[in-house]
Amino acid sequence: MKDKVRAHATDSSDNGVNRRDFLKVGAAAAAVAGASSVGMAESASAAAYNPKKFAGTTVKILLVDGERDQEGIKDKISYIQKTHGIKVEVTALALGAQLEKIQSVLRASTSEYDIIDNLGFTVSGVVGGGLFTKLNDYIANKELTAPTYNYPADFPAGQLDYTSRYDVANNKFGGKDVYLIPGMHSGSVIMFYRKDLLSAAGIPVPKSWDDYIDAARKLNTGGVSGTTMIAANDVSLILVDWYARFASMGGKLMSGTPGAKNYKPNLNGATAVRAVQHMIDCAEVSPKGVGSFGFTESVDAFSRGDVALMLCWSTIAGSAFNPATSKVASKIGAVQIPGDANTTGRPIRGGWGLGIPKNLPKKRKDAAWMVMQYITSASFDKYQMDNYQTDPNRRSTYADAALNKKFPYLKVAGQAMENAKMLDVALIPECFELVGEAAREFNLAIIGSQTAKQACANAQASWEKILKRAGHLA
Amino acid sequence: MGNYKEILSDKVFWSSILVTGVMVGVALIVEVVAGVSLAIFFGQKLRGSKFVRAILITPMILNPVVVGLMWRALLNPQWGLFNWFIGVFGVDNPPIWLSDPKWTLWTLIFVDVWQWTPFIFVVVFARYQALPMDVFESARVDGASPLKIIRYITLPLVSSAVVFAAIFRGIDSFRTFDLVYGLTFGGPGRSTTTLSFYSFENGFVYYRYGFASALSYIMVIMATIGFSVLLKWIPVRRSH
Repeated sequence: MKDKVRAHATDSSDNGVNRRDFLKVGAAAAAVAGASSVGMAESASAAAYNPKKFAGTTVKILLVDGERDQEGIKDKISYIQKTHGIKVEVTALALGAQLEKIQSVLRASTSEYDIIDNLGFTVSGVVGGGLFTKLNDYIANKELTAPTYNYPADFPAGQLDYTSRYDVANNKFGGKDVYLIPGMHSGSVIMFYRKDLLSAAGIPVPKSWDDYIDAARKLNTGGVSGTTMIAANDVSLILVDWYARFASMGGKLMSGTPGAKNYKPNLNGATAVRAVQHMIDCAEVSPKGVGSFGFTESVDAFSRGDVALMLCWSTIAGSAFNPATSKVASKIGAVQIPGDANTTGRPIRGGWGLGIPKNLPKKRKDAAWMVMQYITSASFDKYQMDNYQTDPNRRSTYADAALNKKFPYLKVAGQAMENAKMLDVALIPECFELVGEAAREFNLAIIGSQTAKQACANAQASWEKILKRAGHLA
Repeated sequence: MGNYKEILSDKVFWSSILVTGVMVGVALIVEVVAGVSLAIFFGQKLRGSKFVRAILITPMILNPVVVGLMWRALLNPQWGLFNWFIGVFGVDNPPIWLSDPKWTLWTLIFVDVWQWTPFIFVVVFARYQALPMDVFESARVDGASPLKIIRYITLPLVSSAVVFAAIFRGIDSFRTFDLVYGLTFGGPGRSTTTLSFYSFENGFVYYRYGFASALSYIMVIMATIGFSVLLKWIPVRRSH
């Protein structure tokens, strides 16, 4: 059964899945996960697995702040103490500070933290740098891993190749060696829209980028903006809005490989320019000042009812469905991002991976695995989604009937997770620098300081300079 | 050495020197003028001045990142209170403060002035309160006008405190990073990228530690030379 699910998932990741396929895979995974797992406490009775093997120890976890990841763990600290006998301490830092902290603790003689959450875009730097413990032996060890854990079948295959498995020898994503477990949240980009406004205007939900801008222009009336986007000088301008357009229009970001020193960007091609121009056109029907909008401003504008269409990470904009934080919670729909005439929507793959630093004594690593196993379990994944609406890591959670009833965007988010595409440049440590440079140029185009063509030419030049400096381009 | 060579041929480095220079120069001048004026004004012991003084120093105790985020909300073009407030005075179509490169640096300077003028005020006010009153009374008896008293007595007597506060603020302003981080993240484009922010970005976002360290050393050298020259030009203790 597991093999069947796995094989299907791998095909799906390569070719894209439709909703029916996704639900089949999810339901199968849910059956595997759900048949034997409700929580780790129940699994404690399994023959060899002993969750209290490392009772009396303390495990320190380093997470990012501002994405609600730590909330579920904090709720479960006393539960973990009771079921595992392990004291858990959580530190959550703002993204910049967390990235800085990770760099220093992984290079210290002994890591201060036992479990570290890593942003997908940094995996090649930290895991590729050989700084995390290989987890294959832990997963295979029946004494240390609950029989209900269900790794890898319950995780989207693409996510495993992004924030779990890494080929350190060849510095490539994927492979057989497991260094991280997807968590605390995964996620991709989906399209949120106002059902009431589209219906009143007689406009179908946009399926292509041309439809999208047409609909945004028609809906830009009566105090409502047609669309909004992350258009500030921020890496998310590229990761969410630009890349969604570019990849779905059939764009190929890079050619060649870093190893062959012919890793060349395609930022000044027609598709790249078209994607920037589409954002410029959208800015005309976006709220005033969209050029300084990050996540907060965009999602707030949408949740206030000021906007008709929006692309966003599902893990962030899911709160728009929450009546406590959204004026339009009951009027929202969510679908896959638009595609083009011959392509389907292909959003970017996001998410995080939890790992155990290599520079820890064995006993601390073992205890860390016990805790990490719990906070990446199916039961915890459901708890965290249900209470804090962070995007799940497991197929069984995406397919959970009760959660889907409560959060109607969940199955769309799950489907996006299966189809999402990893950012090409995530495989080199200069990823953030490249994305930051492009974001700066495209932001200037959106606010009218340069044309789409100039922005793309400038971004191309600056990417080539960085890639040459780093030795990825001769 | 490679990092230093790269820095000197880096356009962003030179533009961030310009941004930092404008920021330090303009903000410092405005903060000193406003801070000293406020100190003299509140030195008149007006009714209710204690209460107003307490409110006045509030911005100084806030974390600059928080100030940045707070002003981002206040300057929001859709629902920000700032635009509503200036609308009361007839400004109907205000600029987009944080996404128009013509305005962002001035917005940054404005917020810096809002936050740090109270520092100059507190330091100068403390010195002003400690001045012997008989000097002022003698001047008044001799028929000196209030403006002449300020020009020839008050300012010379508080000048050491002004120089002290200005140097502190100048150094602080020179290494401004947190306000930029919270308010503009160096943009749009590079319009508000200060040297400190550029160093942070390279070190902690792009992991270019060598480049960021070299930038920091250059900043130390610039600050040392700049403020040594400044101290030579502006004597803290007057000769008579």
